[in-house]
Amino acid sequence: MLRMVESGLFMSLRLPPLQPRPWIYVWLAVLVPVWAFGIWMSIQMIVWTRSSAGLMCGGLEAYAALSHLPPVRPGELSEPRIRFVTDVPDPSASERFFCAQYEAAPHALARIWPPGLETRNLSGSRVILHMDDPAVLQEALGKVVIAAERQKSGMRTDRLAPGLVLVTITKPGRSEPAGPGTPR
Amino acid sequence: MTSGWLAALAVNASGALLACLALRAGGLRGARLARYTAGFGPGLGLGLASLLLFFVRTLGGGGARPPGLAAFLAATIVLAAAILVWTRLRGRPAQAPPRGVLLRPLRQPLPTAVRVVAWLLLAVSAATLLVSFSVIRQAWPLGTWDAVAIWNVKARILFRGYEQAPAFLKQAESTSHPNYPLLLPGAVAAQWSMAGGEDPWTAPLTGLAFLAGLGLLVFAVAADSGLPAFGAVAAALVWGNPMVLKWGSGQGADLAVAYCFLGGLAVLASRLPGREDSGGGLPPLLGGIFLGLLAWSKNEGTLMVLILLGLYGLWALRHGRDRPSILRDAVPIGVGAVPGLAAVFLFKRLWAPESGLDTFLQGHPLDRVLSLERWFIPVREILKRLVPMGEGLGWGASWPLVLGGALLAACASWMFLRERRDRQPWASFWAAAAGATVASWIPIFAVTPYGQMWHIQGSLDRLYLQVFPMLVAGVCLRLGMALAVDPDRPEPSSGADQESARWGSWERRPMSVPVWLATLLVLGMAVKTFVVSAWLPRIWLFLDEMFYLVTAWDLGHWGGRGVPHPDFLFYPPLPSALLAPILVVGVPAPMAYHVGLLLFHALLTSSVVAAWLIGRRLFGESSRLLAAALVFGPPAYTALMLMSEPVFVALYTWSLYFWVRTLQERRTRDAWAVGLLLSGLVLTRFAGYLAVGSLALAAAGGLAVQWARGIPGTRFPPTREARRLLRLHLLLLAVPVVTALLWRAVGSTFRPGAVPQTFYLLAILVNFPLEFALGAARRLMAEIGYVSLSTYGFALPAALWGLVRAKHLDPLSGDGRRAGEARLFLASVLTFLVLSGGLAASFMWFARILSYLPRFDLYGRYVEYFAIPLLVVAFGVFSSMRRQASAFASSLERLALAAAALLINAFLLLFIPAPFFAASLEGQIAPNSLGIAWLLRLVGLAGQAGDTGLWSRWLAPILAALLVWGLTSGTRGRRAAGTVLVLLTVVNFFLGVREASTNSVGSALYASQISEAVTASPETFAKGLYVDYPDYRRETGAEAAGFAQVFRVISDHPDKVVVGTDPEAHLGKMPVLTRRTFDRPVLMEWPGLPYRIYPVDPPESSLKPSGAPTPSP
Repeated sequence: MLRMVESGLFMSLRLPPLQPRPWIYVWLAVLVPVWAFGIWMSIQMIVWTRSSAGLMCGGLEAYAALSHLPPVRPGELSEPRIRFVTDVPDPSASERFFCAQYEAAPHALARIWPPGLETRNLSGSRVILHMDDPAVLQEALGKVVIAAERQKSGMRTDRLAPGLVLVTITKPGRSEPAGPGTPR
Repeated sequence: MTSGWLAALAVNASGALLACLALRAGGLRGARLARYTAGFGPGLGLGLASLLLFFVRTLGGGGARPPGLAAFLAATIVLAAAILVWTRLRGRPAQAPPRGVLLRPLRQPLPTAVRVVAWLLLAVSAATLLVSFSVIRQAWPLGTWDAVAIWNVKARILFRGYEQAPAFLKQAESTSHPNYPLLLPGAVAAQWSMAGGEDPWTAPLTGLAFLAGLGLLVFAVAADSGLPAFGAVAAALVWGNPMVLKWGSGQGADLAVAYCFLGGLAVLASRLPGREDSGGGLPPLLGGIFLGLLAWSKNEGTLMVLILLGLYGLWALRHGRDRPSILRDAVPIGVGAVPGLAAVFLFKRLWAPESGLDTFLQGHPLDRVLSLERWFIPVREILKRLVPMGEGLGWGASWPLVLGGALLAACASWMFLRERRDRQPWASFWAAAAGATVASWIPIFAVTPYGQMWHIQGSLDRLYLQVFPMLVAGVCLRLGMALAVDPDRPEPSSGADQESARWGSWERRPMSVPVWLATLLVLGMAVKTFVVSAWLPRIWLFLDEMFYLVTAWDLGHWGGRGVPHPDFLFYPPLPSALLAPILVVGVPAPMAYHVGLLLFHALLTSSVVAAWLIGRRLFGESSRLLAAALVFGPPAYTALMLMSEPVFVALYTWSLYFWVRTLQERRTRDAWAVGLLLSGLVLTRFAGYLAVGSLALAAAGGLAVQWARGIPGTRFPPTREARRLLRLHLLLLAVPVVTALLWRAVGSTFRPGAVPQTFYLLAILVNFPLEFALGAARRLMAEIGYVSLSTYGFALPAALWGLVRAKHLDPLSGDGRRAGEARLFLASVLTFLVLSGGLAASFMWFARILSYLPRFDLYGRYVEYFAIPLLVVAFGVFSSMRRQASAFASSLERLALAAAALLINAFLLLFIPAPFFAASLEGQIAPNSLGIAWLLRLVGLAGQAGDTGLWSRWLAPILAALLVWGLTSGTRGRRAAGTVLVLLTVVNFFLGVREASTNSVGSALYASQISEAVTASPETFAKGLYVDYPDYRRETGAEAAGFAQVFRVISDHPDKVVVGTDPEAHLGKMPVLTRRTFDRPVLMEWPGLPYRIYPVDPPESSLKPSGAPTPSP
C-alpha cells in the first residue's frame, strides 16, 4: 500500500524526491500555533483549577481525625474492615468513602448504606457514620444501637468531629459500659 | 526545605548516579550521557525505592516501617559498585564511539531562528509546567480522584501498615483496585520512610519527578537525531500539553506508565539497525529495568511489556540481526526486567486479592466478546478522541499534529530515502509499538464488564497519555534524523529521473506553501472521512438513510418484499444493495449502517484521485493538487451528511475521468466504465434523473469526432476514428439507459406500492416544455447564484474564461490536443449542468405545487457536486495563466478575469430570490461555501438566516475576485490566495461539522425510546406494534424526519412492527403508535411531540373480580 501511495499519489503531487526538508519545516511551522494552542488550553486549565476550591476531599478536612482512631482491645473485633455509612448519595458518597479510607489507612473501609442498618450484623466491627444532618445522624445511631442490642453486643461511640462518629460494636460477651454520648 | 524534599532529592540523585554509571558502561559519553542520565535518573531512583520496599517486606518480613534512607543508600551503593565491577570486568565498552564523532557532522544545521524558537518553546512549556504543578498541588493537595482512591491510599497503607500491608490490601474494596502494582505508592511510601513521616510534598514531588523525567527522556530521545532543538521541541510539546499537565500533576500513575514505556521502547529501538548515526544503542540492561518497572506501574503495563518484547523479537529477527547478537541483548534485558516482573508476580500471588483478570472476566465475557458492536464502539471512540473537538479538545490540537508528523516520518522512511539501507527498522518498530498498544485497547474495551461507554470515556484520555510522549519522541527523532541528512546526497534514482522527464521540468520545482498546505489537507480529508463519519452522532437521522437501511434489511432478510415509504419519494436500490450483504452476514443494523457509511465515504475519498487525474490528463499540471483539495472539501461535507451521496459523488467524478480517458485513449473498456458508472449513478440516488445530463457526454461524441479529425464546421467524414468515437459514446450512453429500463422492469417486484417513477415520468413529460422554457433558466441561475458565495464564485468565471480562451490553455503540447479536450470537457460539463438544472426545476415545481417539499435548497448540493469538474478546469486555467504569463495572461487579462468574477457574482447575488438565502444559510450553503458564509457569521456580518444585507451580498463577490486575482498572479499573490482559500476550507469544514453535530443530537431520541420500550417490555409488545402509516405519509419537509423514526423502529424490530392505515381496527388488539387522539389510556407519549402509543386492552379475565368462581367446563 505504501508503495502504491509512493508511486501514485505522492509522485503525482510532485513531492520533491529526497528532499524532506521543506516538508519538515512546514511541520515545524504548523507546530508553533498548535503548541501555542496547547499552552493556552493549559493556562485555561490552570485558571479554572485556581478558581475551583476543594476538588477532591475538599470540605472533608474533618476526616483527618480518622488518621488517629482510638485503639481497640485485643479480641474485641472480628471484622477487620471498618464500615462506612453516609447519607449523601453517589457520586459524592464515593468521594467521602475514598477520602475517609485515605485518612483511615491502613485500615480498609467497606461501604454500607443507611437503609436496613438496624438489621445488619455489626457485631465485632467498627462503623464510621458521617451525616450532615444531626437528626439523621441520631437516627442512624439509633439503628446501630438496635443492631447491637439485637446481637447482644457492647457498643462504644466516639464523636470524632461534628457529624462524624465512630461506633465500636464489640463481640457478644465483651459488653462495655456505654460511653458518653451513646444514645440510650 | 522539608524532609520530603530531601528524600526526593536523595532518591532522584541516586537514580541519576545509577543511570549515569549504567550509561557509561554502555558507552555513552558527553552531552548524550548527560541527557539520558537526566532522563532515566528519576525512574531508576523511584523504581529502586519501590522495589526495595516491596522485596524487603515480601522476602524478609520487614519491620514496622519500610526501609529508610540508610537502607536505600546502601542499596544504591551496592548497585553502583556492581555496575563498576561489571564494567571493569567487561573491559572497554564495545560500542563506545570516539568522542567528538558521535554524530555525523551536519553540513547544514538548523537555522538559528528555528533553534531559538525551539528553545523558547521549551522554556515557556517548562514555566507552564511549574505553574501548573504549583496550582494543581494547592487545589488538589491529596491528588486527583484516582490518586486518593487508588495510589496515595496504598502509599499510606504501605507506610502505616507496612508489616501487614498484604492483609490490608486484601481487605480493600475492588473500587480501590488493590490488585494494581505498587511502583507509585511504593515510591511514595519509601520516601516517607526516608523522611521519617508523611510529608505532604512527597506525593506531589513524586508525580513531578515522573513528569520531569518523562520530558527529559523525550528530550534525550529526540536529541539523538543530532539536532538538540528537536529535543527541545519534543519536550515542549509534552510539557505544554494540557492533558499531560493535568494528569501529571494529579499524582496518578498513568504518566509513570508513559515514562517507563518510553524508557523501555527507547532502549529496545536503539538496539535495532538504523541508529548508527544517532549515537548507537543504549544499554540493554536499562531497557530491561524500565520494562520491569513498566509492568510494576499498572496492570496494563504487563501487556505493554509483552507487546514490546514480542515486536522487538520480530524486528530483530527480520532486520538482519543474527541470533547470537539477539541473545547477547536478551540476557541483560532479561536481567534488568527480572526485578520488576518478579515483583509483579509475587505481588499478584501474595499481596493482591486477585490478579485483576477475575474482575475483568466476571459476568458473561463470551457474550461481550461475540457482540460485534462492542468491538466497533471502542474503535469509533478511539478515533473520535483524536479529533480536536468535543472531548478531544482536552488535548489541544496535538493529535493531528503528531499524527501528521508520524505520516511525514513514515514518508521520510519510505519515500525520501528510497534505498533499503536508509529505511529505519527502529522507526517502524516504534510505530508498530504505538499501533499495537492502541489496538490492544480495543479488546479490553470490548470485554470490559463495566458500562462500556463509561469505561471508555473514563479511561481513554489516560490511555492516550501513555502513548502520547513516545509518539512525540519518535516523530521528532525521525524527523530530526531526516533533517540531519546531508543535503548534498547524490541525486535520485533513475526512476525519479524518468518520472521527471515524463512530466516535464516542473517536477523539479520546489514546493510552494499553498501546495504543502493543500497536500496536508488532502491527506487530512482522507482521514476525515473515517474520523468524522465515526464522530457525527447522526445515525437514524435522515429519512433517506432510514429508507436505505430498511431497504437493505428488506433485501437481505426478506428478499425484497418491499418496505413502506412516502409516495413522494423514491430511492434507487444501489446503496441498499451494497449494504444488504453486510446485514445478511448477521451484522446488527446500527453497525452495518456504520460499516456501510465508512465504505461509502472511502469511495468518496477516491473522488479526490479522480479529480486530480482529470486535471493531469487535461492540463498535466500541478494545480490539480490544489484543485483536488478544494474540490473535495466543500461538497464532501454535505455528502457526509447522507449515506448514499458519497457514492453518488464518487461515481460521478470517476465517470467523468473515464470519459476523458475515452476521449484520449479511444478504448472500449473506458466507454464501458463510463456507462457502468453512470448506471451506478442512476441506481444510487432518487435524483438519478440527473444522469440524464449524461446525454451531454454522448452528444459530445459528435464534437469529439470533429475535434479528433480537426475539421471545422459541421462536416463529419465517416472515418474509422470518427466511427469508433461515436460507437464509444453510444455505448457509454446505452449502458445506463439499459440499466434504468431493467431496473424499472424488475424494480416493482421488491417495492410494492411504489408509484413515483410513472408519476414522475408523466409529470415531467407534461410539464417539461413549459417549465423548462419559463423556469429552468431562472432556476439554474438561482441555484448557481445560491452557491455563488462558494466554489462557483470563482470557478465558473474562470471556467468560462478557459472555454473562450481554450486555445491558449496548453500551448506547450503544440497540437492543441489538450486545449481541445479541455474545451470539450467543459462544454459537456456545462451541458450536463444545464440539462440537470432543467430537470431539477421541473421537479421542484411539482414539489412546491404539491407541497411535498417547501424547500428551496434541495438541488443545491447537486449543483455543488457538479462544481467538481468546473473547479478542475478553473484551476487548470489559473495555472495556465500563471505558467504562461508572458504568452497568455497579461496583467490586463488577469484584471479582466477578476472583474468578470466580481460582476458575475454580483449579478447572481442580486438575482437570488430572497427565499433561497434563508434556506441556504440555514441549510446547505454554509457548509458548501468554502467558509465564506461562516466567515461572514463570525465577523457578525451575516445573521443565522436570511441575511441579505449589503455586506453579505458584496463581501463574497469582492473576496472571490481577489482570490481569482491572487490565484493567477505571481508567487506571492498565489501563495496568499491559496493559503486563504485553504484556510477558509479548513475552518468551514470544522465549523460545519460542529454545526452538524449539534443539530443532529436529539432528533432520534423519540425513536430510540420506542425501540428501547419494545425491547425492554416484551410482554407489552408481544403482539407487535402497529404504526399508523398515513400520519407519516402526510409529513412534509422537516417533519418527514418523523417517518425516519418509523424506519428506525422497523429496523430495530422488523418482526414486530406492522405498518398500516387503520389504527381504529387495531386499537386494543395490539399497541398502536399514532398521532391521532382516541379516548383511551395512553401507554407512551413524548413531551412536545404529537405521537403516542395506545396499549393492548387487558385480558378480560384480569378485569373480573378476583373472587369470581371459575366456570366449570
